[in-house]
Amino acid sequence: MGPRTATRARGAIADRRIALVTLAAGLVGIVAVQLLGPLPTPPLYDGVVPVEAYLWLNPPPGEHAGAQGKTVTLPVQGGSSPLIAVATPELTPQAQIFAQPGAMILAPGTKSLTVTITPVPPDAQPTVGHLAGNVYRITIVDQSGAPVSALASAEVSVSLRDPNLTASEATMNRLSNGAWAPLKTDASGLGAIFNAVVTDFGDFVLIEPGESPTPAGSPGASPGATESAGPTVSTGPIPSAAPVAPEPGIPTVTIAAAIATALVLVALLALALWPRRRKRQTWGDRPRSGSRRRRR
Amino acid sequence: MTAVSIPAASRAGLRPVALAIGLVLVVGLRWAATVGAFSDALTIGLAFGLALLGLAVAFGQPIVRPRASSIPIGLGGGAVLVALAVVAHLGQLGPSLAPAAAFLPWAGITVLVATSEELVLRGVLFQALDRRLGVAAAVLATSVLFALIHVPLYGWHVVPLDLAVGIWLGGLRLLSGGVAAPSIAHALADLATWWL
Repeated sequence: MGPRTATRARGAIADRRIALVTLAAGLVGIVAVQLLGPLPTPPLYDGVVPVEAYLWLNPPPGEHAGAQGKTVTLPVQGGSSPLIAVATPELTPQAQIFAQPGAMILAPGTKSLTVTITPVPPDAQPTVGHLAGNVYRITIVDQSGAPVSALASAEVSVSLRDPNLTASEATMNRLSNGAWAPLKTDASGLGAIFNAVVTDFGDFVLIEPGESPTPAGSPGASPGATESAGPTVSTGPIPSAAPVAPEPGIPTVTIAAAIATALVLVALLALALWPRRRKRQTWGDRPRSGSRRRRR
Repeated sequence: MTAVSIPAASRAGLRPVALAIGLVLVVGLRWAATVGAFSDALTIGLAFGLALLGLAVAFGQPIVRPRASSIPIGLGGGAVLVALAVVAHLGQLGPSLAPAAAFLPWAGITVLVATSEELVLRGVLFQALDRRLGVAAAVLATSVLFALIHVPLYGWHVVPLDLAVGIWLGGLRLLSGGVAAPSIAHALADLATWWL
């Protein structure tokens, strides 16, 4: 082995060592984060969060209608409730319920469970804060129509999506004796989804603090003005981050921002394409980082 | 009037800065488009991925066939990320509740976004920083940037995890000698979120 070959071999070993140390550091970091402060939902490295426009039971101006429900009937075998995973049919479900097998308290002879999620008009307004999104009525009944409840230890979870993508302080509430009762709520961090563990079912909604951003008298703000028969009843305020778009056309500030952005991108492109000595690099066939030595 | 000429060394120094500015700009536009509901999430994701891809190519990242050894390294790296997430959330995992028909378009755009991010971060930016400041600075800077670009959509609470994952992906980049391995690992971890 000549001196140059030996130097190359030592360089390759050093490169490999740096790579392994870096990998070890990353691994320790990931494990430490997962142990010390795990995120409320599984991995969040990136990904496209498929958040679609929120669908309202009765949309405020500029918003989308078409909130849907879902009904699923599941067989019960061996006297134990099955896995329950039901969601409304949007790409990002607006309401979901999830229960592990055996989570429900069943009467003897239960043969099936029917899980229903239905968007409904609100039966009450909150005393503090405002409703964020549709009210969803979630029911689980057996074949005779008798409601069932869940074991507290089973951690049956209900998830609701907030129409405001940037919402961080919403609290899930359940209608109890004609008033909204707050539940311990966790934010999932993905697509403004909020979760709560429940034992009883009924009407659920998210409530955000503060005044409704909807102007007084508009269909979304005043329960008195909105309630009517049928499915065209407004169920909440206009989300603060969603476009209200009272006037058609693109705002001047948006056009200015777009022009500025385009100019910056052109400048960056010019800088990138400035004549220079190109060193070819590929996905794989090029010198290892940290060394100026060329691989054989 | 005389033309102002920038020395070659200064130009080379400006390139990582310009690339970082371009990246931040594209991320900012994606955030504005998402929050402003300019379009649906998949269309915005497609535009975001293509913009990053354009940025990477404009700054000199060639798109070529990856070396064969990068594939098992990437698959292994991705499997570790997924396994760690699964272990950390045992007992909370359930079936995906999103419609199955939506998977293919979502998966395609997710892979595009993950790969484009890697081409920019662990590709051209890593290369430029490695040449000027060394490998440690390249790993650290690309990891910090990787964590920060996720803040607008997901919040500050993801920074520690994304920082650690950025270092892990940097390690894969070093181990494999190319950007294919971290791209595969990144895409695999992102795709797993459909089920996790």
